[in-house]
Amino acid sequence: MRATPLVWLIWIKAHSLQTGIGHAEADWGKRRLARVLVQSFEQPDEVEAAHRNASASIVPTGRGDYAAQLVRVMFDKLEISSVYESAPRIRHVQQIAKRCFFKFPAMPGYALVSGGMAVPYGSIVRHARAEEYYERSTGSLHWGIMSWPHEGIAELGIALAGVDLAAPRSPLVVTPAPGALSRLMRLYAAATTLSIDSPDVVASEIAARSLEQTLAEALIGCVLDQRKDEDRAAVRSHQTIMRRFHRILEANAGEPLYVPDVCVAIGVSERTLRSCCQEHLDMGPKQFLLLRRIHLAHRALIASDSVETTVTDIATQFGFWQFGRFASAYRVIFGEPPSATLRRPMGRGGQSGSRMTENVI
Amino acid sequence: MRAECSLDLVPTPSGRFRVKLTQMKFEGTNVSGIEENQPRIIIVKVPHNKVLATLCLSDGSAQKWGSLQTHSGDLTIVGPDQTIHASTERPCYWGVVWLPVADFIRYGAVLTEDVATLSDKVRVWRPSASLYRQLRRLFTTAIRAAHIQAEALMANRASHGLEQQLLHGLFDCLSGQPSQTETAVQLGRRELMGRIERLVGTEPVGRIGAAHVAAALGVSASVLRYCCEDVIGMSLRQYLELRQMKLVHRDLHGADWGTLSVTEVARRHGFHDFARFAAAYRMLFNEPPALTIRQHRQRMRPPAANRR
Repeated sequence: MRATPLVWLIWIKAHSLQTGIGHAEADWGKRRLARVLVQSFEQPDEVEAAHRNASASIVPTGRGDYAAQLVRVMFDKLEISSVYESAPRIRHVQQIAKRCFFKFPAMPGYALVSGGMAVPYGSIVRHARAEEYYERSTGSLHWGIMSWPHEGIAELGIALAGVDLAAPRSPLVVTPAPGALSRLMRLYAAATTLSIDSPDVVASEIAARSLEQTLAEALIGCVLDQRKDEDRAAVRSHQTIMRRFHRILEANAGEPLYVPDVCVAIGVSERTLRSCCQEHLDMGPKQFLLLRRIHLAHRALIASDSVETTVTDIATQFGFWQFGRFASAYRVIFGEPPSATLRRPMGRGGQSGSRMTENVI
Repeated sequence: MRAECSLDLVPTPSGRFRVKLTQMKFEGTNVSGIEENQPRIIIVKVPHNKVLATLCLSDGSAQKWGSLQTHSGDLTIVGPDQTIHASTERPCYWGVVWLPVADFIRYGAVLTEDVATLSDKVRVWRPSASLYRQLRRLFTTAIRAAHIQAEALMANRASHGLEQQLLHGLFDCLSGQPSQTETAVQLGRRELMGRIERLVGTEPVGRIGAAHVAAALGVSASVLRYCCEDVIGMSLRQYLELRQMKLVHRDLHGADWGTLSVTEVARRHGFHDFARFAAAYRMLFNEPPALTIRQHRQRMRPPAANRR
């Protein structure tokens, strides 16, 4: 069932606009702009639309409903987000170039793999500038992301630790010292909990300033006091392939795609593409494209009129010729037969969902 | 099939030869499913711009491609500009994919572990049972779709999807090394059979003996004998007789009966002993030549005359 996202938007803007904009440091206390945003979603496309500092597309890969909750706190420069997703998914992300991103699992649990690199609990991804990557989760996941303007973080790094904290050339997974990490996690948890429970407290001039400063210091402490994981050339090359892969999907949005054409278009062997997809998506390209086709068929069924269209028409359009197999795979993912989706009044979707077998054509 | 290649067919046992042919023309690839009720020999000439891939679609089917015996579970590839005799010993249900050379190279380069290269030699792959099953399932699905979902196949998006899945299934089966590759001797025999066909095709209508063929091609009688035994499983004399018999059968079907008799048709194809011809004809086609004519006349008669 499609539901309207639940949104609380709290604007906290203390006597800001009257004061000068040119003196950011000096006027910090007066010019502050802080926002707390709490949202719930029941459909992947709603989550896609809610991305602020990136464009994203989401394909759920597990059975059952996909739902997400987002808490976002936007300080003057620092932004922190806490995201809970109820089901595994593959997310393609294109980050904006203006900000520097740090992402981490917020709770121990299911694995998060970003750009083909495992990000276990206790580690942080330092994203490259304007990074484009696939990210997959293997189950329900609670993760966080912090970002800072590029210019700001360079200044901050030099001011606080005398080092340049500009975004790395390629993404890095860093494992902070336990003390530094637990400090960051504690502060992060306190900030998000407080934002939900008492947004007005977070918004107060002193609290907001102090929280932003403390969180930034804790983050820098983690990044400085790190054990840097090996950056491999293979990772970069696989990321390039995955970027090309995504370009093709993007250029053919809404169109079914198949492995032979995709391999020819990217110019890589199926074996290489399979290993890249396995690394980034935890499934081969054939299975991923199959999953994509079945989601496209689902959208087409929702958008079609049962008087004018049949399930067979739509199934064959999306490359499904064995209708019994298609119907059962569809049912596993969406919890209803395709005919039920088609019969429903146009524009009303079913349940979201999931992983499927390879043997459906 | 003749649209794809130069093809000739010689039925080998007794009985009426029946074939159910389903053909699908995709964007680049053409696919056929062929169900035959009798053993036969076919001569296929692959065009210079196509590659031929074939497989058996039912468990009991088996087919010999040149000197290479293939069974269900094998995938045979014949390169461009090759002539090959394919023979069966029992009813056979098989599938054919005609691939443009450019597509074979393009998709082969990305979909197979070892880049699929063109070869003069016939090669046979034996993929894993699951990959073969998957390809066979795709084939039978495509054939069924051609019969019951023909309209859906007209849509570009739908037919492209099916073609892509067939290509993927096909190249999945071509990964790794072939299980059989024609040897130089086998290739030589296949080429010799091709020369025999060309010679027989250009000779004046009539019976050509094995000695005549050996002399014309400059090979010894024993080489010719081994070659025929290996490739078509019978002597050249038997094969030529079957070939001529097929031509008689064809002419009896298409003759203008105001002017021609059975005896005359038989004589034109080099059968001078009419009793022996009639017996051989009956054995091969399960009916006397006169019945072939009668049936043909009945078919040709206008409907009004039939009613009377």
